[in-house]
Amino acid sequence: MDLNYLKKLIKMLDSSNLSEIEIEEEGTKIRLSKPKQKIATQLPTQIITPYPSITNINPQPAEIKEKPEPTTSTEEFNMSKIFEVKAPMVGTFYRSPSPEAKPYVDVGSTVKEGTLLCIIEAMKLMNEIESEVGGKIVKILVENGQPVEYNQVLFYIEKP
Amino acid sequence: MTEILKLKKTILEKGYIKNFVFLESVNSTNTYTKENIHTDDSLIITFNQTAGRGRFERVWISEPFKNLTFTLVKFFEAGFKNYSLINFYATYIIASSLKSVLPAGNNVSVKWPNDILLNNKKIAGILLETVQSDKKDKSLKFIIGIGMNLNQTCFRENFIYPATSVYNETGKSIDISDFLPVIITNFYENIDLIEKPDILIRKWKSFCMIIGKEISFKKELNSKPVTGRVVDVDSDGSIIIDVKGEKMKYYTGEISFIF
Repeated sequence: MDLNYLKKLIKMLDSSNLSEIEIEEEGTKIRLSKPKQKIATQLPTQIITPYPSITNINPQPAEIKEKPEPTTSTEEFNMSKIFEVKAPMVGTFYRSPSPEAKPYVDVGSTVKEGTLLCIIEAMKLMNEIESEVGGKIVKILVENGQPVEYNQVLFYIEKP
Repeated sequence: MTEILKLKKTILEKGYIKNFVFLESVNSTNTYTKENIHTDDSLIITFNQTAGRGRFERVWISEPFKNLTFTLVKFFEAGFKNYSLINFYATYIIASSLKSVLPAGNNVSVKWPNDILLNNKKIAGILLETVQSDKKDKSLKFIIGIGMNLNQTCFRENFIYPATSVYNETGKSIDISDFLPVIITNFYENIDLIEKPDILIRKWKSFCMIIGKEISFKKELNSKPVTGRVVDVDSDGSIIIDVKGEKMKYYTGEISFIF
């Protein structure tokens, strides 16, 4: 790994609006991410390398991952105004068109009816999930790349 | 241009395609279709796809005027259950159509779930996408993007799975205006198979080259691969892999290596 290359990446991330950059090439994976509250001088927080590693292979591959933990924070939602976006099928949840791309939506994004929210992949069928309502994304309940069950809630959208 | 008019006439005369769209040049026929085509049974074709893509925006490179790059649009009613089998169906149709026009002795095969190989090199890819076509009746619009290397002779090297073309393998070129009508006719004449998972998967498996083989398998895009032996592909399309004596059933994932 070329240190100058890494420095360039750090600079690029710092000067961009992105919160995360992930690059994979020739068996090495680098992920740089910024803390959510933007502090201009803070260095990226995570560097993962090398990849792929042959250690740590889970000897018993778990078929079904644990579902994301229910929220325990003090978030409060007026559920009468919340529209729950549910998974129309079993599959893998993706928030962006490719690992390098920006997510379609983030918490705080304003969406209209028809706005693309995510992709659910099932057997290489890429299902684009569009919003059925207009409003604001207030919560994303599934992590990128995680399996989802039929009807599992993916997003909370607060209707105006 | 007369060739395109001839192709259009041949395709429309078959009576399956209602809407034939020829684009002189386009970034990707799937992308164009998602944004612009809202009619069932549409065929969108170009000879110059400038930014072809696969899943996760992987690049599909195709030299202009040498290959087959098109998108087929098919609507299915809301509640359609066998959506996961469409990929197997499209793969089977492309593989069997290709086999039917090649001289004997060429080996057309498929890799789970939808790669198509000729003599063990990648010859065609399918990018299947859906969007809800109508907000009212909630029918699903399937966008079936197909890229097949016909007459291209140079490919980038060092792929784990090298690419090839019909010309490279057989020394003969295939005429798109003969071959595309074969694919379209096969697609529509066998479409009942989507309602018959057992038969469909059996037909798909007749091309499958991985059953019994040791493979590396990635459950998720960035997960570490597991190694095991492919036991079977189930009629629901899932792949069953024997991983250290335990039979695992996977609905999503990717074969990253075949030993």
